[in-house]
Amino acid sequence: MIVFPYIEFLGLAEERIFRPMIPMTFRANGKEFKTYSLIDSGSDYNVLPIEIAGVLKLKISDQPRYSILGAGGNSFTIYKSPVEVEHSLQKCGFRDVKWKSFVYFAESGSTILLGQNGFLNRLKVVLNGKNKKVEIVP
Amino acid sequence: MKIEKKYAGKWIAVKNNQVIESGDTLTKLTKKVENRKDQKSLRFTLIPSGFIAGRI
Repeated sequence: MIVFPYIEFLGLAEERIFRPMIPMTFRANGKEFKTYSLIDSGSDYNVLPIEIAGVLKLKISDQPRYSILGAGGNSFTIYKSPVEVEHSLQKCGFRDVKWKSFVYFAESGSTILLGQNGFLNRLKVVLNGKNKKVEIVP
Repeated sequence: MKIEKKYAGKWIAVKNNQVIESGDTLTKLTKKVENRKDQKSLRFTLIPSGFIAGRI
């Protein structure tokens, strides 16, 4: 089992905010983008800011675009990646966990979201909020 | 790792669980760190501008 601590956000409220964000690397076209991504069980897909498509040299202008709704009813435009993107979960002392999946790029300035298709359907993920740890079984 | 309020809505670069640089856009941030020798070991992420409740 691979364990990651939640990331703490200071000053948003009187209480500290902890979020389940984990180190991920996305690869395509010989390029890679190392990041921290938020696990979001409410997201249907893995959603990345559109700038990352440029880093990975993915041409999305010809890709189908979709409108997707947030829980609050707000709408976002997203583009499906033209190819499957390699996902790599990394932690010192553990072998990298890798898989490929399509991702969606959002124009909205969304943070990087790991959702149901492409992440939660690939791994066993426990959000241990009491201990503020993400526990992942590949 | 702890993220301070001043980074809300910004892209950040992280090394060894410390924020080492930030920028309003990913392009500006990568420009700031492009000459660092440790560039390959940096991780980048976009910090939400506030509370999150059922984003996408």
